[in-house]
Amino acid sequence: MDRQLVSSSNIVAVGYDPASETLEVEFQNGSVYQYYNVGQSTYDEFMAAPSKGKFLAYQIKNCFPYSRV
Amino acid sequence: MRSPQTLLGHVRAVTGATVNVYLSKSVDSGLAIINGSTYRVGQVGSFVRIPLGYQDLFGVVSDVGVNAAPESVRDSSQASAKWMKVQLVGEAIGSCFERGISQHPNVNDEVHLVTEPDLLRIYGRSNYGQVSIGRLSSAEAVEVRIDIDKLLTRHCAVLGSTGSGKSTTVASLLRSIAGADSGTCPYPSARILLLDIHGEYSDALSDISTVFRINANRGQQELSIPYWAIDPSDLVGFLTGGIADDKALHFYDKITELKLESLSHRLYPGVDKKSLTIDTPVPYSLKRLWLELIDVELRTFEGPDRDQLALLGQGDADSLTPPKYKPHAMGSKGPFLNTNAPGIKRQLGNLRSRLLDKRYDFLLHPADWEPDLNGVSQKDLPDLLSAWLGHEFPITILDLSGIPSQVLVRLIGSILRVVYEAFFWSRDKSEGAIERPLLLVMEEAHRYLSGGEMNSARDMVQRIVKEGRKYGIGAMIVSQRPSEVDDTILSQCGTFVALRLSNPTDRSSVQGTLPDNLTTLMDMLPVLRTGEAIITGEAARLPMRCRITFPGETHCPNSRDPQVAQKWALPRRPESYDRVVASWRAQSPRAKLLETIILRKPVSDGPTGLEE
Repeated sequence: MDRQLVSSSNIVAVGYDPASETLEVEFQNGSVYQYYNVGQSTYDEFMAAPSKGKFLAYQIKNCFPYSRV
Repeated sequence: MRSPQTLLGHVRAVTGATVNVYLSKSVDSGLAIINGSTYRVGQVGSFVRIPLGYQDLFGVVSDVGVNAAPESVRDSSQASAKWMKVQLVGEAIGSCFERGISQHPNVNDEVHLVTEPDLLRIYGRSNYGQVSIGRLSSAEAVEVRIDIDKLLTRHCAVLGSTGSGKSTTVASLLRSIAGADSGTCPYPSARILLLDIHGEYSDALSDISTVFRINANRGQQELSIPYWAIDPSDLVGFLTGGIADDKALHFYDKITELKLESLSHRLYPGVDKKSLTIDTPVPYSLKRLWLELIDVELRTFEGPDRDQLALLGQGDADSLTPPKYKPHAMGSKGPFLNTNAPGIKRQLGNLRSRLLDKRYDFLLHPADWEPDLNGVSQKDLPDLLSAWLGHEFPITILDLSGIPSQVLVRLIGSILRVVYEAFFWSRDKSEGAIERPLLLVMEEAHRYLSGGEMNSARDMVQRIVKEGRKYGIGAMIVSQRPSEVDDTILSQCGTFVALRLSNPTDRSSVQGTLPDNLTTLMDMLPVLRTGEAIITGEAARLPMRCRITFPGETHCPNSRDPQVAQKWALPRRPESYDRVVASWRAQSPRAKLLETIILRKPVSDGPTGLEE
């Protein structure tokens, strides 16, 4: 749990491709992850979330398939 | 002067460096409280002090209980369990601690507990030339420091089973040398080359290293190793898939010829035409080597003297097209086969397919280091060495995770050879490793340093551990299977960081490196906690059991154990195995299925959410 709290300030940049429903997240340490099948509504919620890191950890990371790119 | 609470017992027998101590009544409780800190008495692996006038002898407890009693007492009526066996390891005069002892204790000398001030005396207060690696298991307040000079010049080995914390130990050690977490940089000229077999370290050390990798990711550099710089016999062996010596000769002759020719297109400082040998690292074109050798093989002749080439079409080196000759015929009219051909068609076929194989591009088509047909490459070795060893960061990571395992051993041999040769010959220059020593960290050493058959990596490392000291090159061998690492290499290591090891063969190979009286210390190896190590040897003042400082969460190597229960408890995510196969086919864990370009916008936390 602690790790997920730490990650809340960890996200540097976020990109989204609606056509392929791919969410791309760049982290502080330079790693980039793609999350697949992320619907537009989830993305909108994500962008509106007060803490991006928490939202990512709870609503995205364990729910959508992902790959480090 | 000494508070009597530290008294443990009295010396009863002295044999060589082993002392039998009879414990006094005051320590029956097993605890001693000194200046507010609690010490556990008679822990195996803890230190004791035996004052001898001006001197203090220091020893390590190796046995406690009835087994520690001298043989003669054991069966007699005096027998009790209040014995302790101590191995003497060093002495201190004033505040100066030294390994080795100049005199022995006498019967009835007092034996004292070692307190924190005593430990500080041993480990010294000065930071100079020392690097902190962790804290003593028996006294967490005491920082364990090891001597960098000895660590590097006498080589060292980090050994432990999978999951015992090897990579974290290495990462932690390298981070503290680079001063990454302390904010100060004590060693701005540190130079470390890490051979990372599984690609674990690039994240952990990203802020203090340059990473070279095949199919480099963002922020990394492409790993290229020009074939013309590596050992020709090794190269020919790999390219041909094994070749007899007499046939290899044809390759060697041609390589020398091409290297010589390359000199007429470009001059390399230090290379003299007269003294050029096959080993001189001068670029030449492998494609031409192939074409010129295959031409001799395929050639047919015609005419009355059988001396006219029956050529139909020229070959082309660039596209690896063989030349075309009229097929030979049996009769007396010809065309006739070339009777002087060495018969290396099969080997040349192998060479051609290697040249076409994408997986070997880093070696056979090394980007800017690939020579054209005349043997002129865009970049030369100085560019390669300065990229590897002369960049702004102290650590260079060569991430070898994308390298096919068939060539791994040869490749590591070649990398080490390039580095070693460069420093061997530059020993009198300020770029050389005497002026700026190099630490070579070799992960998963058992994979390429095993004994047995011909092995170029092992031979090279043997050379480094035997003579590297003179040229400023130190080796750190990291392995989970010490029994599979070549004996010569392990025996040359002066310092051992032994983490948990349970396999008896592995343990005995570590034990074998210790002096006899300390082997009992290594009996603790199977019960060490994760991240706990026994450090013995030159770089450590005393053999000691310590807890390695773990680098922060973000700086841990990504070799942590999967959290099985936690992951299995997750609801199922949709899965798509075409991504899996894409990665497999691309031989890259980060391959993508769709090449989409996604524009990323910077975000920050806060009630406003999006920041444009």
